[in-house]
Amino acid sequence: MQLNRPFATVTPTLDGDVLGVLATSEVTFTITQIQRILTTASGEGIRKVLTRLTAQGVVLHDQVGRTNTYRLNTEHLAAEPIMALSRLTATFLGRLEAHLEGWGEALKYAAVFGSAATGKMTLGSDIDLFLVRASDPEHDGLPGDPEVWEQQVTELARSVTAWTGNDGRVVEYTEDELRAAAVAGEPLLSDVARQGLTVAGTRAWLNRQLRPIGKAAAARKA
Amino acid sequence: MAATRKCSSTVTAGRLSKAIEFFDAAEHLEDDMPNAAGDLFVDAGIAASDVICCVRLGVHSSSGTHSEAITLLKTADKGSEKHLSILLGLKNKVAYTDQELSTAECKKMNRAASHLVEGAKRAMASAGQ
Repeated sequence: MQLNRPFATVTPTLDGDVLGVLATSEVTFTITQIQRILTTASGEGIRKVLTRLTAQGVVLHDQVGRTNTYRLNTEHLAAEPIMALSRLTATFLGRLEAHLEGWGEALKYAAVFGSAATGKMTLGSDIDLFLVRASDPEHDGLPGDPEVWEQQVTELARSVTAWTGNDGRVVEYTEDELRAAAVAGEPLLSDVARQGLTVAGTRAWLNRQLRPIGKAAAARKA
Repeated sequence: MAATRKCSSTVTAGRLSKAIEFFDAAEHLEDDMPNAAGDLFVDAGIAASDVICCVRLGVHSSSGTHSEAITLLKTADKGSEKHLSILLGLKNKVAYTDQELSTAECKKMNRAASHLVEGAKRAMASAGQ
């Protein structure tokens, strides 16, 4: 699936994209406003979709002067599943957060990064996950056990594929490896820090580990 | 009707980039320079709010009136407006008075800006541009 086009899971047509716009806010839209959000759709195409959806009762049409406005009919029987579809990204991230909560203190930080985080997914995109594992020796016991960790990572990738249909690609570091990579100026870490959607730990913690990147860059400029 | 400006994908991406940059700079300064950090948390929150409004409504606020910007954000993403309200509520103190921002206020601003920046990133992930 494409997290940036959640309705494409059930319909590849413009109808889904238009419903996606209407379902995310409780306001009325003109055709021009919808076109501005969807950017690639034609005004005429959007008008036809809205006419179809209005006939189904799922969209309410109003005319103010010469301006036609449209909004989702939130009382319609189909409104609830439509809104649920529009929230698929939030549902996915929430499910990831709940899944990772069970990993305990062995997991220091996790984020979704790459095209899934930047809204540029295509159907064949992987879903990239960034994990940082605690290096602290006091976490040597379960669940920090290397075999348990490996099983958890494998299960995580499998779950992501089962939830979305996309391959889950996991990039993992220990805390020590993370600090070493930060000093070396590993570009992937900057991408994760800037674009990543945090699903475990805090971004402030990640930024503290990565500070050497900024210093190294400053030193290079000097 | 609130004053708004139309968004393009370039505007949305640029505002998100600035939101992240302001936020990271603010966190970096937070312990040593809380007033400067507070000002940057406000900038981060405003830029992030613009992104959320751009993605959901196709426009962002261009009004100098705080209440209009808050109302527009509430329309785009109900619940987010309280975070912007916290930031704008402290904006005058941090930027235009001689009063020092307290540690608690700075942390409050960090949390509010963090919610908005994460919200902006998640909005981009869910809709793309």
